[in-house]
Amino acid sequence: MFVERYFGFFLLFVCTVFLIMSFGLPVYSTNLGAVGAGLFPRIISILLFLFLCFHLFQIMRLKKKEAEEQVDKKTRFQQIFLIVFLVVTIGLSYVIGMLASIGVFMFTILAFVQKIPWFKAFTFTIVVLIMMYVIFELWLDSPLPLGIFG
Amino acid sequence: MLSELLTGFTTMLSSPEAMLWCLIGVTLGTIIGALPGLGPITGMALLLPLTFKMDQLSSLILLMSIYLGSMYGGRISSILINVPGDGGAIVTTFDGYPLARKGKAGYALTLSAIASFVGGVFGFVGMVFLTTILARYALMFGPAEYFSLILFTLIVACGLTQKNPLKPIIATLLGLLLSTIGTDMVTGEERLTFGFVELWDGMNIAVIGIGLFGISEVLFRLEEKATTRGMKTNIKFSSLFPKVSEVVSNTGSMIRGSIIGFIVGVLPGPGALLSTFLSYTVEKKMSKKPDEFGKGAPAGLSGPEASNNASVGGALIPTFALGIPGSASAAILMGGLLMVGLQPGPLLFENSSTIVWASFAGFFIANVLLLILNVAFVPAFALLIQKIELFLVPFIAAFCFIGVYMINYSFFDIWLMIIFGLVGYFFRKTNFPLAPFFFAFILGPMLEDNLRKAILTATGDLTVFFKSPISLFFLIATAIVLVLPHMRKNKTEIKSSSKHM
Repeated sequence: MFVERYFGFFLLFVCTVFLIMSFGLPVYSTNLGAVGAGLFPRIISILLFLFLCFHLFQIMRLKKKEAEEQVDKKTRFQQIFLIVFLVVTIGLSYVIGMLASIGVFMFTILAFVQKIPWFKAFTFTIVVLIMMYVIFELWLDSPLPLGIFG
Repeated sequence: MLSELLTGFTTMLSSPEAMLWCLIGVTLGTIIGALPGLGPITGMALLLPLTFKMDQLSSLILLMSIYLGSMYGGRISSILINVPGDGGAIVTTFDGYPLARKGKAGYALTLSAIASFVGGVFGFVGMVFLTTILARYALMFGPAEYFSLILFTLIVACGLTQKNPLKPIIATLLGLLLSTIGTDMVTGEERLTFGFVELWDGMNIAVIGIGLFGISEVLFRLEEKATTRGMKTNIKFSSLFPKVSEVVSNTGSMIRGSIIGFIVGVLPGPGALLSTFLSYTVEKKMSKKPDEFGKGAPAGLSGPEASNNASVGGALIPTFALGIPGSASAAILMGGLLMVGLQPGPLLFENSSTIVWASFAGFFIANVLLLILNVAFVPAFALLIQKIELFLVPFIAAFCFIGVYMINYSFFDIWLMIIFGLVGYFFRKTNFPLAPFFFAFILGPMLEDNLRKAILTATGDLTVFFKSPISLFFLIATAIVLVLPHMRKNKTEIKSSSKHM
């Protein structure tokens, strides 16, 4: 219920932003004598706003707290770590290149999150990196960022 | 017609070079299709330069084989790791992946390969016999007809007819709203882009799909117990293949899917994507156990898979007969045809009859090769997923990362993928259905575009949607679908209250 409530408010916030922005767009396009760019988003955002309000009203009205599936702190930390590390990998790609940063990401997650022995984690990472290199660099000839190796 | 087809088969089988390119095409296509983010369009576009130095038949066969192969390949990653290879394989995740989690990855892969084959053969038969007839009917679909068809698909597919439709409605509307981001195609106005240049072209379907399904899957996997990881690892060899009776029981869904796929494939524009959604909707509506859909219903897998591959044959009809590509992939194929000196259109059958009929024969041979390849490698795929189970979290994340980057060579897309991964995670956590959201996101631009085109061409007359018989048919069907469950519900309530009295 806790997550549902906050997620509902988050969706309402997103919807409100879109609703406000849609009012800046014309409903009719006078030049072309056609429907403007704002009609469709405005109708949709108004409807969404109303339904979300009703949804939140329903949630708030529920007095009994439904049992929510609990996620332990360790798992929550692992999830946050993974997302943060994905973001770090974007930054690292500029510095050491995409393949190398993906390698760092994979090894870190395997060794520290999945608790797989270092040697196994290292071997698997190398195999996947070689596979990616062959597919993307050699075969598809894709310009992957190389960073300092470029 | 049959004698020409027979000549086509003779030409094809007597050309070792064309046969070799057919084999290479289906193999490359399958691999490309299985890679997240890379679909038939990217695959054919990347390999188009290869065809420059080939003869006409070989180049045509190679492109068609890649097209068909990637349609088969897209389902592999959908079933095994819940990451759709391309748009047409999105629906495969709905029931294919839950089957894999039940330890039936091999079963799901084989069943979908058979369904793909049935769809492919249906597409082939349709392509051979109905090319000229159906091409004429396809032209009867204007914006108003498309709008009604898409509206019907959205309403039915999004579960708006369920007992508690509030969450599907919210998910659908949110998908529609986010689909409006980008440059307005009619007026050229920039809308809802928040100043990001990267959003001018809107958000890429594959990026959003990979985020919603792939990244959220990674986060969910971390929550599952380390011992089981949610997927059965003790897979028996016998469970890798469906029983004959199981295949037979899915024949209906495969045929229905093939018909839908073929017809929708013929219509220029929507292609495989819409056909799979439509097929899924029909199967769910027709099923005696609709609750099983999304939890591993075989019909939810076989129908859309057949439809996905049947749409290829359908899409090639307007490409060959009219010179109007039925899908984006067919457009690239048409580019290939033009580059090797073949002019698609009514005269193609007169000027290059031998090559066209040989390519039709090649289309059938490619289907047979794909069935053999896909069924033969099922144990390998099932074994692979069993062995790398513990390594899947970073593996999926890494492939999503590089796959998304490859779509537009943009880091912005990776940011979007992460954001939508989190959205997908919370959707699943709070029991908001992901499918309606994604359905609406994909169909939204088509819905809006056709709505506006229809109003524009009718100079503002809204009755245009009721004047066309095809459009009217779909609107009535939509109304029936919306009203019928409520009527049934009222009837049941009346019955139960009369019993109590």
